[in-house]
Amino acid sequence: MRDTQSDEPADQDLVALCREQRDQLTENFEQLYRRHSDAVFSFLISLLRNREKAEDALQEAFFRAYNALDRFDPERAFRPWIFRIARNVAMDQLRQEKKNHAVVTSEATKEAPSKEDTVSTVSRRERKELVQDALDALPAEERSVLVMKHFHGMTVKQIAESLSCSLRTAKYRLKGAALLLGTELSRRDITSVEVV
Amino acid sequence: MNCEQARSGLLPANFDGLEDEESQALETHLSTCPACKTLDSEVSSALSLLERPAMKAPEAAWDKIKNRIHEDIARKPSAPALKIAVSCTYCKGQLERAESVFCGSCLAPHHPGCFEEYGRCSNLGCAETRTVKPLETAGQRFPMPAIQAKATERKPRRRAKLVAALVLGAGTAFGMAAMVGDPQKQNSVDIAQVAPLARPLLKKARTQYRQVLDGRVSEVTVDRDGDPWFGLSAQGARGLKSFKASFKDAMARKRDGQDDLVIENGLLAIHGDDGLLVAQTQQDEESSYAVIDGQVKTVPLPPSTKKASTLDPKILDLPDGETFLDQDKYGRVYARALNKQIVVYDPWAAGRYPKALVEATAGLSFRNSGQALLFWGNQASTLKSRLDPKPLAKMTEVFPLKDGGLFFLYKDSGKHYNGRFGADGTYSAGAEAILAGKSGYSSALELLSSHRSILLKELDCTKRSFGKIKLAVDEEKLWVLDGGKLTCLTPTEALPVRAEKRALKNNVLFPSPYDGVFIIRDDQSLYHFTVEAGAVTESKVDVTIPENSAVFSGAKEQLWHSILTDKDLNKCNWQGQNRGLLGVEAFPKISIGDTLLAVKENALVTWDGAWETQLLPGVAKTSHILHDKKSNRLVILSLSDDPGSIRMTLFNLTVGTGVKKLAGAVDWSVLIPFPSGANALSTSFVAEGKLWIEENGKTLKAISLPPRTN
Repeated sequence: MRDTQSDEPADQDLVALCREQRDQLTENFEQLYRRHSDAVFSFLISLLRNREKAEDALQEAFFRAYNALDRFDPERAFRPWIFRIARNVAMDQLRQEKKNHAVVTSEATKEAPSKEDTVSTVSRRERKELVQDALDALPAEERSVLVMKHFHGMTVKQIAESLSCSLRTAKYRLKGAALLLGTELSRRDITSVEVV
Repeated sequence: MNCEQARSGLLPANFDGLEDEESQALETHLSTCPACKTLDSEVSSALSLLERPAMKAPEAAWDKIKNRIHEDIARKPSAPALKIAVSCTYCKGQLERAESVFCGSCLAPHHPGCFEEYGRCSNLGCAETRTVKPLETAGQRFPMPAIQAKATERKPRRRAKLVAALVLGAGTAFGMAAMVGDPQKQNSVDIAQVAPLARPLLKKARTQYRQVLDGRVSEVTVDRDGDPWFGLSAQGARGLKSFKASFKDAMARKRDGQDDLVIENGLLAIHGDDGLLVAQTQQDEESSYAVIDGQVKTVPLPPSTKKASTLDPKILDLPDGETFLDQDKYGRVYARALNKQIVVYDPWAAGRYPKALVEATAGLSFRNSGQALLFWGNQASTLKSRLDPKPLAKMTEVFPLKDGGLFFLYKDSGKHYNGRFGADGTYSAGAEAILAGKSGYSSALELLSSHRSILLKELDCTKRSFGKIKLAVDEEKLWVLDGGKLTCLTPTEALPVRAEKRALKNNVLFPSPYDGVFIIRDDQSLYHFTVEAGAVTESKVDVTIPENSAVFSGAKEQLWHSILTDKDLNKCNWQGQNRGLLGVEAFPKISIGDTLLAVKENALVTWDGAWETQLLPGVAKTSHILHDKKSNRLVILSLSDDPGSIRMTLFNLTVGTGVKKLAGAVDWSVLIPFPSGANALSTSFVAEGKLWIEENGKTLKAISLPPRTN
């Protein structure tokens, strides 16, 4: 699969150009960064729930990606690949945090209600926060697949590439994660009927 | 699917987490169950509240990444220069890269004299008689294959440095600072006056030396990580060996990019921390290898401005049977294994030398970009992504180009294409890449016409040669190469390209006894071309080949074609007055080699060129004519006067001369019983020395043929 954009070189072409000049950092890699950094950053925030940590992870992910460009398979899309790296970086961080008993907050995604909010908006906002809480309550592994699917519109095939697993396994993991989310939602009374 | 199952599938369905069958079942259930439908809406509504955090990546992040990558690049050191010996495959002696020649097939290195003496490549199983040389040293316009040997570039530098080092060492020892650069002094270093050290520096090494080596010392490498040892590598009869020798107190350290330790003209020079160590070497009385024997002088040197590398160069110990080929700028070493594969050693991978086997290659070429190009026979690979060779193409032909690049042809799905490796390391494929958009085969022809003195050779493609005229067909055109001039025949409606191509592939581009005349046949028609001094005239001959017919062609004294249908034999003669079709009654018939035999007017006849020859009179149209290939006899089955018998006559044929004469060649003539159920239209054939008669697939009789009498 080739990543095509109008009048711009495909991701695979940019990677090929980067590989040509491995002994210097070229603007081709910067172009790749500009193209994907927002999505990766957003993905990392969803996983890490902390802006600062997400920024660190973003740097680490793109640094790792640069050093691993030779291993990128040009037959595949770039986005699932960088997501895989970002996911691995985030998982490493979370594992490290777990070791260090670090407290994880979700400050990055929380917003204070404004004064102009009407009662219904507040109600909707609360409901939204509850849904977000349900998602945040999932383990990072499960959360990452749902985020890739729901927020980044990745296909099951792309998710499979990101997870380095088969299509069937990717579906299985999506299903498992969705069921877990269902449990969390029902715990928060988001759905009137428990979805198990 | 019940409601419980459906509800458990609602969320997974929103994430594409259901199998197709499950999705369909869920859809069906939702269309019939309002409660579950409502729940589905609730779930969808809840999920719609989830919003992707619209976060832009911080602007400063890129600067940090950039700096980190820059630092990383700057920190990566250059590859160490591994020193590898090259030995002659024939005499096993040491070989200077610049002076060596390589086998044109397997690239085994040889002394030029050794190759000449042996007459061919001395590598086991290789009988190549041609040699190749690296581009820089070949001295030819188009050496093939091109081997851009990095070592050949380094050699002069190294030699100059050695001379300088020795001159410097000896000069300083004698207090003659002005000696550097003095050619007379360079040639007259008097090692006898180098004061010996108190104890032999390398005495211990000598013992190991004898144990390990059965060849001669070719290279010496110094470890410079503080470990007081150095390595000696030697090319023995069974491969490259290396071993350690203790330096004890004498710390010899290698500086990046320098040949620190060299043996030449009986002197050993080592760049050590304390300066240049100059040691005397001498020949052992038992063999030809050199022995280092202790005479060492320390010479102070100005401090080096180069930073010592933090890397640890290893001594590469090539296993038996592997031959060093070259080394790229990353320090990877390429060796050729006995199985003709390339072994790549990467010194940077985890401090060891992991091997990577690459498909067998005939050549190795390094580009400015540092990528290695390997090619052998029909395959090219690059090692651009380090130890990850990727086959680029199945090559049919490889041509080195003037600019150091390579042009090659390859075949894919029955079509011919070309590709090109530029001297700058770029790879381009396709017809547009080279020679003004011509396709692969025409490009090759043009190359041939340009460089035919060197590259003139048969290509594996649809082609024919008519004396000096060469013809070829690519996807679009017919190309004629005559005396170095290339002419193109544009296809016309009368010459359907596809048909022509298919026909040519079916081997029906006919030779002609006349210079410059050839015939192309496609499935429908015969075409006649004349080539005169490079100009080609085309004339479609008005002959339509009926469906389900066979064409027999020949060109002995005249060019002819016979078109055999189920009713008639039509004969085309392209020369002389008989041009056109001749109607011939044609049953039965047989083709023996190029010779067509047919029954015409109660006689067995054949054609040689346009001339008809009667071979045997009195052969009825109902006769069966068979060929006993095993004993090369013609078998004719004909009705006899006895209604219960068949007459079987066997005629001896002469090997290699075709069917010239049958009268007088009768070997046997016997009556055999007419098989029950057989008739004139029954199938008969000869196989396994027997005559088989079948009717409707059932064998009626199998009769052993009598042995040939002469």
